Amino acid sequence: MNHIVSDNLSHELPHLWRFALRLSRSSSVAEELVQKTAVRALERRHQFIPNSTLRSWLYSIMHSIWKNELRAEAVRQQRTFNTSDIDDIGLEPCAGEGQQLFREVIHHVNQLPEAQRTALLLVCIEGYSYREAADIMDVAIGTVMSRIARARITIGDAFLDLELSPTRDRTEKVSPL
Amino acid sequence: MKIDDCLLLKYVEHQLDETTMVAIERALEEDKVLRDKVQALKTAQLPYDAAFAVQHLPSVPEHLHHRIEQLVQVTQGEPRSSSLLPFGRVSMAVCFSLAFTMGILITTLADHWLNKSDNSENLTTISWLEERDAKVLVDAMIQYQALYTRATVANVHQRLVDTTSVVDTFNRQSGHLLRIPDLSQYGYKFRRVQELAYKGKTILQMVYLPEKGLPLALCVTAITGSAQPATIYHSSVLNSVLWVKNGLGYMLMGVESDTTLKALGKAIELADEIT
Repeated sequence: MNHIVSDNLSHELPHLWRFALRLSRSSSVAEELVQKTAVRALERRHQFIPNSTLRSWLYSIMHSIWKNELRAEAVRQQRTFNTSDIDDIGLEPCAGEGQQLFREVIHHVNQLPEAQRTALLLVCIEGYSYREAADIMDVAIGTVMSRIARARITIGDAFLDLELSPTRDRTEKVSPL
Repeated sequence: MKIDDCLLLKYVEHQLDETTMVAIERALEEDKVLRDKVQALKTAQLPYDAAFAVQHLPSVPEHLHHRIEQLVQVTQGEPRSSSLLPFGRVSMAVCFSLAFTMGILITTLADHWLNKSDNSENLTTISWLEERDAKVLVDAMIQYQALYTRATVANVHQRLVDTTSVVDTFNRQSGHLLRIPDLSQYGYKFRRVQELAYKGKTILQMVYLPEKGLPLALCVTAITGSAQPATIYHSSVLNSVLWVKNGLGYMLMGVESDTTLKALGKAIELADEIT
């Protein structure tokens, strides 16, 4: 019998909580999301393949619940997006000199359309490969890459306007090569 | 060659073969839109992980942590076979929670309540619930049962022949003559009966849907012991009334008030039968 899920679920809770917050951008919705994910994961614990990554499996469950069950209801009740309680960007004290840059990065990621933001969160923040992100989001790998590309073009344009990029080189825009 | 955003992303990340790289560079020389996109993609190579690593987020709420711990404990404490869980068209979360809830409550009911209750009609708590472990489990399960939605039950359409089959099997195995109470005159429409199991104990779960609001669940199991009057148990999210009659333990759960639940419990004893 497969006990991996129940034995490790509590350990994964901080990661689930952060991902839920970033998906829903609302503490109250995130709580519901984590709880439903935990219940669903334990129900299906026998479906978990022992040598696969538990966190990816949990994220895929959470993303499915968010997309299919909670998102529409949360929006309808204005419990997210318009009333986000995590987008007032606070940074931990250790942020130091990068604070301004970090603040802008978070701000512009949060401005992205949800599908692009989720893809970017998984690949650029959680560190998943395009393939893994596609599995979690249950879409084709090309879809993930397309979303990441569009997200980066949007963010890149914004940073070029800000002239805040750490590698800013406005001349490249005229002569990229 | 059609150059889309994905291809440009691969170009920026140096994921293309030499031939394709050269083809793209040639296209970039001629197309300012593509050049701008490439510049944006390069500019967007930012320290995302570092930025989000220092983003201040709320900590995991203590009560959420506690709930997950309880859920895990209950899972680890029950038989591991998934075949014990009656997953069907009703949400698996609902079945999961109800299966455990009923198993634990009924087992506890049989083990403790029947022997320790003072039979008072007016008790707001019952003696076995004072036992810490039992109370923790009951409260936890009731929390999970709060996930039971109206929409889930509304989509259940059990055929009469299946309803009859489940009840007949229960009666054949237990030697009782249980029937599904018809509560339609009180505004509760029967949706489904299903057999749950916990540590060898068979429990029938009957689900009713009111005209508005959340579903009501009646669970019944065969137990030994004398008749016991209705006793209310309160939780923050769900109420229940428990009683024993003719060798069957009943538990009615819902968001209804104590008065309504007790009235419904009384109605169940007197109700017409669906099967």
